[in-house]
Amino acid sequence: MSSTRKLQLIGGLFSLPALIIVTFSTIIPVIWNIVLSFSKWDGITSMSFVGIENFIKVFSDKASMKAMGYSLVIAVIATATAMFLGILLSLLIYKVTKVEGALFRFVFYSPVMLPLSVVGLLFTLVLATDEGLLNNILGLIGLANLQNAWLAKKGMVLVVIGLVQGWRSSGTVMMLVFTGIIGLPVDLFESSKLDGATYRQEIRYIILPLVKPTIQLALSMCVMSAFKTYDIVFSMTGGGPGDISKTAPLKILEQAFMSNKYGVAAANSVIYAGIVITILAILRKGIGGEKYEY
Amino acid sequence: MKKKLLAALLAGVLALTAAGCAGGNSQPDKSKDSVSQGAATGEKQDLVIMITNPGEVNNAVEKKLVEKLGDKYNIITKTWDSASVEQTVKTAAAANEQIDLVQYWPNQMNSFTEVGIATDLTPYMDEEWKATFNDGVLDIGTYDGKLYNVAYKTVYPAMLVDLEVTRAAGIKDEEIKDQMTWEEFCDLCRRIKENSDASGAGIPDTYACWLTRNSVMQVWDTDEELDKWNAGEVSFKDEHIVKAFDLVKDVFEEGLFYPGEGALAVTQDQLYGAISSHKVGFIFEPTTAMKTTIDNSGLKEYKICDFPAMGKNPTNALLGGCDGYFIPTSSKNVEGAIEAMKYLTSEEIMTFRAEGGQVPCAKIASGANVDTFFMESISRCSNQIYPTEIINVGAELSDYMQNQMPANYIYNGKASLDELEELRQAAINK
Repeated sequence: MSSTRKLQLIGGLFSLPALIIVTFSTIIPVIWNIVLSFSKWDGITSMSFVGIENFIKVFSDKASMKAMGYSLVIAVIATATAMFLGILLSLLIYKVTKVEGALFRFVFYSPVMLPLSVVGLLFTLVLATDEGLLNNILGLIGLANLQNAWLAKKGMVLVVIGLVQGWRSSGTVMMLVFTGIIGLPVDLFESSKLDGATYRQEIRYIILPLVKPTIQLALSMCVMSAFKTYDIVFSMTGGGPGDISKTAPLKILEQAFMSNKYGVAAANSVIYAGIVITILAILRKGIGGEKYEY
Repeated sequence: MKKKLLAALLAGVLALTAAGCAGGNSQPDKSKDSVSQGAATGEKQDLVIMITNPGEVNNAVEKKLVEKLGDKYNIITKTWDSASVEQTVKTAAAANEQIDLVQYWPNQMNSFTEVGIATDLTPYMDEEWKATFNDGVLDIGTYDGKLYNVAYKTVYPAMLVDLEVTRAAGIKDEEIKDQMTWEEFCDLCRRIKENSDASGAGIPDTYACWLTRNSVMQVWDTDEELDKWNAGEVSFKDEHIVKAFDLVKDVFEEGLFYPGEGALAVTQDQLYGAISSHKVGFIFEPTTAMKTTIDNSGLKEYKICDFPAMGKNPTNALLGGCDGYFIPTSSKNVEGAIEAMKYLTSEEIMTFRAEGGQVPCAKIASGANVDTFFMESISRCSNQIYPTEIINVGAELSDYMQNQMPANYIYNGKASLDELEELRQAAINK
């Protein structure tokens, strides 16, 4: 046996525990979920095959469609916020000295270290209508006319949740893009300086085109996390008031564990996953294009 | 392209995982192995209870239970939360996880009985135990002749009045009647709003549904009309019902509820804070939580009023009933749960609850040290509690009425009534 083959075997052997974990924690539940989506099951009695009936139910259920729409809105706002803030912060941090940079990186990355439920709870205190920090600050600085019921206004609540989630994810984007930037060849920047390029021009003509693959990766990660809007929504609003912030994951859980319609919930999650996959595919195609080698 | 497709598929896999985990055994194992094993080896059996909602009395009762049965059973307590108790029990049932004793409302057991998750307690209700309960109390938790839930204390919505707030708004104490009409109540709220910095009334988000649930019951002129409505025979688009929802919508749009805008998203903690700061005149609370609210907020000058009458029917039907206990089918220690239930409804515990400001459903000791004036103020509407309610027609309808109303009517208008109407139709055609 050749040494390469041996190494491959050892590598495979070491990957086995991870493969087993992934199989039981991800692959089997996904397959089970797909099977469930074609079945009628209330969690107690035995399952029966119903074909695509569950999918028809989901598509004809206005509440499920509305929940998917809300998830989409939050995902778009959260992704846009995270990408904009993350890229901006990485570009700013790149220009500061090493010591300051380390401090800023820690500060801006720290929200990522907080569990989403903690972030949600924190912001319910900040955004409360009467005793909330934000409204009180606005009142103190003479901007009382901007005070708002941030978590109780239709439309507004989705924007707020999206912004909070985007802010929380921006640290990851910042770190990824920053790592991409410091990996760029220094001579590119030196030669651009000799040509009289400003930092803005360096960003436009050197940094952004060259870190495009990193941005693409960050975008995919952001979109995936933005669509999994469960814990932050649950801790901030619980999907309410009423159903004005009830996102698809909350709706799926409600169908499964409140209404005992596991089949419908599974069909809903299959459709939802389909939407996420489609959006990711479009995004990857959309920002793909040229890649530079250096 | 293949790599991109694979990457996208893997991403989808992550999204699917959450729902996939929802699945379990298609035919849950209902064996009581752990019990028999425990009994055989002489080990203490587990007794998983989920019965304690906030309040000193409730916590003390749980402590007493542990003292009483702790030597016999390994008592494991789970957090009880009104918003998630149903979900927790159903999840446990689907996964066949042990939960032996749960606190739930006897009149809302249809969410469990419809899917067969509640244990029939009829065989365990012997004459001796039955005799300890007040007349008719056990009927509340009885469905199709089977007892599923044993009531232990009476509860219905009432109002706590902060007299410091009302006096500051120029309202004389004698103007605040024990039982006001909805118009009188709204008028006092307006006066508080106009003459002080406080809000007229306050209600936590979890109890906001009371307003619409009571409104749709009290809007009918006769009991016959009400019974038809409660049986699910009347449309949600009926003019009476639209009027009932409008009645509630108007007070929120007028900003009479704390803190004005955003009143539908006030949590219990935020409301406690507002009460302590004397920012609310009338506070809607369950009678069973009145004493806790008074003690925790430090109110010194207060009065307890009945829920305002929202219609003209002399019956003045009121939602409510009792808190009770039931045993899920996922219980692995039914005998232990029954033993705990008997202790929790015993004279000792009932007396303890009565002395702590709660209205028990079973007999109390003759020499009990009870504040009769306070007890009278939180029990005088017991005879108004109506035995049926529209939420009993179907579990999903119940969920919508309790968790999404009145907010959905205020935000979405009549579209929410269309959704309710669909749920009503589905429930009656089942």
